[in-house]
Amino acid sequence: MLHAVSKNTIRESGARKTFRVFNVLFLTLICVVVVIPIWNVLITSLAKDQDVMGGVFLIVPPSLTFQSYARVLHSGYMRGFWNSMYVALIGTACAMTITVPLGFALAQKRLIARNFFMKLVSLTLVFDAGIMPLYVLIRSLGLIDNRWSLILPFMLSSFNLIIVKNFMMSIPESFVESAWLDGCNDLMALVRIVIPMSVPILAAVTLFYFVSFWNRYTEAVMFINNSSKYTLQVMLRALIYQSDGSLGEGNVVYDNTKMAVMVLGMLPVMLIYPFVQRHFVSGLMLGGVKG
Amino acid sequence: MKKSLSLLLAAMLLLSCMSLPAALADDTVKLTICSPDNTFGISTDPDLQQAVVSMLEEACDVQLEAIIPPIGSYNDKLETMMAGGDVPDIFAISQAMTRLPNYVAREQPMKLNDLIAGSEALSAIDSTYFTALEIGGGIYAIPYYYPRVKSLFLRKDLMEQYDIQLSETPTTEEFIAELSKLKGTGIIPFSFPKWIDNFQYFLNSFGAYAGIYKNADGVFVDGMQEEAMIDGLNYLRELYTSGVMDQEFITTENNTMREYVYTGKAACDIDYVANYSNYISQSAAAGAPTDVQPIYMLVGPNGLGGGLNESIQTAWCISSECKNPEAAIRVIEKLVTDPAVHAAFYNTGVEGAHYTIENGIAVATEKATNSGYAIKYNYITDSFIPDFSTLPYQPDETMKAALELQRQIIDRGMELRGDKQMIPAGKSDLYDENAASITSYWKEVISQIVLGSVTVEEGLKNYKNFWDSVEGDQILAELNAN
Repeated sequence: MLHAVSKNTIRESGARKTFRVFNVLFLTLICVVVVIPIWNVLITSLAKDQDVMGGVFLIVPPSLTFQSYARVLHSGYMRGFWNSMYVALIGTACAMTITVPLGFALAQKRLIARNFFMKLVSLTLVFDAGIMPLYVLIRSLGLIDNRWSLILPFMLSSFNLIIVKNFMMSIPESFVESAWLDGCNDLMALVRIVIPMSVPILAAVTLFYFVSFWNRYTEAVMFINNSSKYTLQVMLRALIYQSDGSLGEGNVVYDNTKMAVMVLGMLPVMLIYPFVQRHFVSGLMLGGVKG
Repeated sequence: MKKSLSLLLAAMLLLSCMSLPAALADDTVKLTICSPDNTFGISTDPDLQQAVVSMLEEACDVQLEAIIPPIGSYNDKLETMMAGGDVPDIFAISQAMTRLPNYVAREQPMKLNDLIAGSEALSAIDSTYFTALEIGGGIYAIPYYYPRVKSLFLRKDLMEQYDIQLSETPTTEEFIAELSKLKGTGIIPFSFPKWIDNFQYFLNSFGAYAGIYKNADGVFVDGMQEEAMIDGLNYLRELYTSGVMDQEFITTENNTMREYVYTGKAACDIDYVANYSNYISQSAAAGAPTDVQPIYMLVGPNGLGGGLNESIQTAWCISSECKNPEAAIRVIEKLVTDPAVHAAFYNTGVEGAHYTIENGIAVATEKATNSGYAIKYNYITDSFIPDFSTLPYQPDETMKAALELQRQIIDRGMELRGDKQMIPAGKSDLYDENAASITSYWKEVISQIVLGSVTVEEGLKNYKNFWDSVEGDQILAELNAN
């Protein structure tokens, strides 16, 4: 039996073996390049003050202490964390509420002027108005210094909309038609048939939205005036710059504290990612195939 | 329908009349104040910042809406607000010598001559500090500390260990020769930050000036195209190729540069003379305590030289649209001249929030410490206020001694500082349009020359091509004509 299996196995050529070894080495190298900065952030955040001075790049932990985390958890940075969480959670929920029905509508071939609407959506991918017109708009809406200024303008991403629409177009029309025959209207068909079938793409797009709301920096600085409403990203950048004030009167903030805040900044995305990872690639692949 | 509408309107009218007396009774002046987060008690914690705002409100009898952007994005935020028509009533400007002329040309700050004249405390400040930022006889900004000067700081322990013989004003050749003794020891002889403007320290030794300036004859010229610049650039290149200057300076942040010296990883760096005491305290904190020797200037082949003069870089402005400039100047007056408010705003924060006082010494609270705050006493040597002895807390004896020495170092640095000039805005539209790109281009050329991407000749040739493309000669003609 063993002999038979061995006989049927396709023998790999030397070139292919070399290619596979090269592939493994190459991908390992890429993994190392990606992992090293994150590892460095983690190790530095766990080191003592003295061990992080002098622009050192730590790979091996010289000391192990949670003092930086204790500081950060009892500091004003936690307010930034909760502000970011507020913006990211509400923003993602609102964005998905808009993106999914719109994607569904644009996926329907019977939609009048569908191509025109798609062109309008695509236009915003190419042309970005920039921060000034956005500032003037936010100001006119009376949203300066309001957390909603970080949510409302970003509730629809054309890129995300297009991949959701493409995915929904790949769902056979017969499923939706059956729902209609069973008495569903469009909304019910979306909720009962299309959404359950679109979990991979919805997981991917949810993560995209969450990360984009979580990492938003420039708009948070420009539209928010009261520092108690600043997001964690703003506070993190402030912390990094504070000890490098060009005027020299900033505080001396050691790298371990900065890195601990960075870990806090990475934490939500790192926690969410494993749960949506299995949907992630398949969702993107399926959303990208149909135009 | 008409009846209902009339009733509704009548009710609204009645409501507005009822709320009118309350509105009239609330005569507290409301102002917006915008300053980066290296002020307001130097803490990024919103609660601590608010404690300073409350203190300021109480001291000035105004209601303040504070806008405290991170220092790294401060200018972007301020300029976006200005462009969007939201100029804060009171705002701090950084890089005043470059930015103020543009703001004045756009009529954003208010002329302050009369308001300053009406303030006894502000009038008492040496007028030369105001005139450093004067534009066409108008004062648009109120500085709050002495002009900034940079010198080199050299670790004394390494000087002794490696027998480095450098005075406080050595020659350019001595500097390279003596610091070369550190080559091969693993210690960076001279750590330098990525900010190219700092090279002016060395250019001063050759009588060179990067950028447009008014020469001794009172004529505007372009320093990059003068003969002296060639010698200056050759020296900078030599500093780099000799291995004296950090080979990775182009990516080095200010704090990294400082930490190199604190820890003994580097022997020398360039920093504000007012930061001397930081070297004493931070080298001790790093476990490598030492004193540092200032090198105020390097004497060039023709006997020239001077410290890096950054002049007045930050100052307070009042918006030209401010409804209550008298209240605004009252706030600025407190910030600049009142010992308690000044110390709280620029360094120490508020008792109970940032620190508590134990035996006459301020001790940081746990909440403040967790946000990276530390007690600093730089205000004692930086500000125009001569006496802080009225404050209920004082530095300890070691810090007092370091600050006393720091004051002497500041005085000597001021004495030996090089040239710094402000080009007036509004004299040449062509200059106003191209000023930023000219500065950016000479910085690019100098960094390319130092790093060896181009030779001095090639770099200056590239610069000349750029200069011609922006009609540089026309700029000079316009500046000299007006």
